[in-house]
Amino acid sequence: MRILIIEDQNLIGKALQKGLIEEGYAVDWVDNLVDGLHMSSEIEYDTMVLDIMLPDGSGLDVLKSLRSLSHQTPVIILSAKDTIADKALAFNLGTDDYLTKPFVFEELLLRIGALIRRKYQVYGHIIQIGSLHLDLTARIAKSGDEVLKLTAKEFAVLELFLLKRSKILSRQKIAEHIYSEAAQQESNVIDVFINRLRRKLESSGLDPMIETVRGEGYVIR
Amino acid sequence: MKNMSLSSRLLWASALTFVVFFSAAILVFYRSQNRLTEQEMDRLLKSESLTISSLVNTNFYGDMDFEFSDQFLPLYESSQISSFFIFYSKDGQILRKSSNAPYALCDPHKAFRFEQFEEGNFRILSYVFDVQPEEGHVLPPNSTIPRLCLVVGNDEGPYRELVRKTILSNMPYLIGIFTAALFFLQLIIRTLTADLSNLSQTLANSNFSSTRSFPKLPLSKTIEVGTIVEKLNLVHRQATQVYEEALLFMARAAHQLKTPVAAIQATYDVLVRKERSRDELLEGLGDIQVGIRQMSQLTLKLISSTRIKFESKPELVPIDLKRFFEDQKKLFQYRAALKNISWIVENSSPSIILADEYLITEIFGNLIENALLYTPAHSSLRISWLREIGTMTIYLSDEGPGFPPEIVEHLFEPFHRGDERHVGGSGLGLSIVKNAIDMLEASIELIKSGKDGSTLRIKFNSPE
Repeated sequence: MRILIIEDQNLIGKALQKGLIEEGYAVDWVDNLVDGLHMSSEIEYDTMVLDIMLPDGSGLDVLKSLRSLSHQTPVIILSAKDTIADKALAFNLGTDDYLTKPFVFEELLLRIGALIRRKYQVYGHIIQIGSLHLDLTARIAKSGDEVLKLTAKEFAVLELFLLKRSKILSRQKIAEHIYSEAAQQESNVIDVFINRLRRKLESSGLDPMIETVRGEGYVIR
Repeated sequence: MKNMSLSSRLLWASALTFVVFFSAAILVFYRSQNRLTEQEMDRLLKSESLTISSLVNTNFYGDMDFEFSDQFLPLYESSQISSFFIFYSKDGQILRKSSNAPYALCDPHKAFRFEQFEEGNFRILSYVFDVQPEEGHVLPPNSTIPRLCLVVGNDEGPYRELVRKTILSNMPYLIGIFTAALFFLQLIIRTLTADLSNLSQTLANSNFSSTRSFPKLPLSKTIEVGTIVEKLNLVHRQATQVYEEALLFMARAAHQLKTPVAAIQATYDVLVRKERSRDELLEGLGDIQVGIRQMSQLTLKLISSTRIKFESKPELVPIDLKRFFEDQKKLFQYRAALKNISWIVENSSPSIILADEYLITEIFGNLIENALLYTPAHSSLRISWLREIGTMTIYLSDEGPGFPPEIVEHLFEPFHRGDERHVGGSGLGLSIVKNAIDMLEASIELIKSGKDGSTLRIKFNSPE
């Protein structure tokens, strides 16, 4: 899952990026409106965390721009502005959620998870295929009762496959969802990554489920 | 009386005044009756019929014998107790008196008076006059014209009765006039005080919990109350402005404080989610320390800002600018050295200024701090001053990017800034400067702002 943070306060941006990466998200962080507008129009993010008061303008301009282009990217506003009028304005412009500063990081994670599930039309926080259980909130994968030892990125890829079940995911698409702009990898890294994930799943007794579609990518059906 | 309304007070005051005037009128009326009687007597004595001192003849010894004209005497002779007369000679001998006359002294100094006798109450008039010979009679040789005193008394009863009857007969009219006058007076007072009553009623029913609950004051028909309403509305507008500025300041201050708090909390939350290495922990704690420093800087600025607002009258003392800026240089040398900024003080004028030490430190401390934030590395900060008659002008120039044109107008408002958050300012520095400048009745002006730097001119009224 790829998230864009538009936040001008250095410490907050840094903490969010670190925390979200550690949760397996691919995170891009920009600290101004111009870069925010550019990134949000270039890349399809699974969620955007948006500050309102930016040095070169209002973060709400990013929201307006997105919605005017009919982009459905879920947006959560993270702002110190806490009046009903501020929130009403943001919701009327098309934000999906609003969290005021100061905030608890855990709550932000839960809200981001909820926005992503809604985007992929998953209701509830458990996805199950056969004996594979994926808890999207606890971010744990289980084979029966056995907890799979997946890294955050492996979990994120598995989550992406299950959320986009039966859809072929190109290597680029997978890379975009696990690597931020600053850490884009060569495409063969994805093949190595998928093979490792396959081995972990199969060693836990699960049937092979990640199929290779020649010339296109990978899919879980 | 203490809690009476203004209209009631006016009504009572008017009624009291009316009663006083009414009583005075009765008294004047009563007394005028007396005066009339006195005048009547006077006229009687001076009339021809009272040339009673008609000299009839002189006797052998040259004494004068005289009688009184018939026209006067019967008037008093015939009356019973109701009236009397007494003639006294110059030496106080009673020459003649009416039969019913009590003993009443001649007292020309107290010509008109009331006296009480067994026979009743009398109004007494003493009248001194010279006896004139009747026409056709000749005074004997060597005789002197005698001087007599006539004491005339009238029963005062009829006069008092007349007054009483007059008053009583007119009483219904008087009461009617009094009531009507009070009624119209009340109407007038109510009309006059209606505006004031409306205003006081509106204010009494109002809740002044905030400036927003200030009532819509009634329109006034009187100039005086209209002026009060206008002034109250003006005070309300000014209070609202001050209140809203204070609210805005508090909201902005709270907003500014939220940011470092959010940064500290987010850093902490992320830090404690996982097992961390020592280096990771130190990095996280370092970030938290940065957040705490930002918060404490902002708090100190808020305290300064508030302190200046409530500072009492500035205490003006002579300050040597040369020494002052040397001290400032020592205070900021670490920050200046970090960016390798050279500190240039040009002083050709006398350097003594009369100013408040705390305020001037706030002014230049904040301006220098601001300049050091914006001035790029390896540039310079230039300070100079010019002493003129009655003024000291200080120039502060940096080589920073200048102020964005859109914020120049709001330069000295709290929390208005360009991209200051990237360089760590609080957004309060220049507003603190402006408040301190105002306290010293000085002025500050941005005389240059461009890509190659900006210059501020600060002008103090300061005698040499």
